[in-house]
Amino acid sequence: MLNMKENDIKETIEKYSNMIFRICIMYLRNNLDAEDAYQEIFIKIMEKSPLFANENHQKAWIITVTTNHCKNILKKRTYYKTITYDENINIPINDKEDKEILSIIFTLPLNYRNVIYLYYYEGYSTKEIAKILHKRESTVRTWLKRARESLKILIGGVFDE
Amino acid sequence: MNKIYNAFSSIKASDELKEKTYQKIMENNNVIKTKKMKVFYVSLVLTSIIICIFLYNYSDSFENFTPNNDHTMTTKSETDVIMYNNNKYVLDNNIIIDMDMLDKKLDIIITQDNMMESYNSNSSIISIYSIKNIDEAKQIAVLKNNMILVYKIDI
Repeated sequence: MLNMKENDIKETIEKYSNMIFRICIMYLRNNLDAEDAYQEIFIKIMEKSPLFANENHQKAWIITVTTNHCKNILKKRTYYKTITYDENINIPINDKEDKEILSIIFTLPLNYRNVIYLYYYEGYSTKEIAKILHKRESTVRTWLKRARESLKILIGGVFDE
Repeated sequence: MNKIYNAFSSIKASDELKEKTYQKIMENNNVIKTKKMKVFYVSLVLTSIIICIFLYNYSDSFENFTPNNDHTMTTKSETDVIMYNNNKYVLDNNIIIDMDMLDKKLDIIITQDNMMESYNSNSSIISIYSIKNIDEAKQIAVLKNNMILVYKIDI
């Protein structure tokens, strides 16, 4: 396989584990599916692992691989009509408030929550998000605006721009 | 916004999952290595088999091949032996005779000179003579291209 040595593999897993797992949860909204996807994505990343100009480049590439993989899983779900997640959204979080906020975020359309995550958590600009998701910047800005509006209504006072 | 950030922060991959993933990657790594080795050895074996088959099929050609010699050998073997009257006669280079020694004409044979010439439909006519005072069942003379060759019976 691999372009990576054992230490590099461990380091990559440690560095990007949480990010990949979050994106998987965001897309699939189910812990079990997210864990499966997480493993498959890591195997894919280790197999391909091209050379990167810098760490940001690598991170953006990993986000793109992860989102594409999750999109494929969702496509398969639609094709085989096997919707595995339940309405309560199965996420392994103990804090009640965090779980509540995430449950609200997860009610948003996929593109909105994706943009919210990349913008507010990963700290990407709308331009960078557009590049990662292969969308136009104006589209990303619209999604972000609508997502904010929806969150304002759903979370109310909790959400502060 | 902080609440959202904190909420996202609370999603974490467990150590168990990380370890499981690491093991799976290493397993996959080994599987790919084994596959690569298999492909290498299978192709090596196949190549060897192909070379063996090739050598087996063409070994005869290689054995007979000596530069500028195979053509000569064919010609020699063809001209060294003559069939006449159901008997096989072989060339006897030790005896040289001239025209006076020829007795009577026994037969005329049309022969292909050699393989190459046969493609061009080239043939030669040889005349078989008995030799004076010699039993034709033992020796005969062959007149070919104005040359007299003596053949003796091959027992």
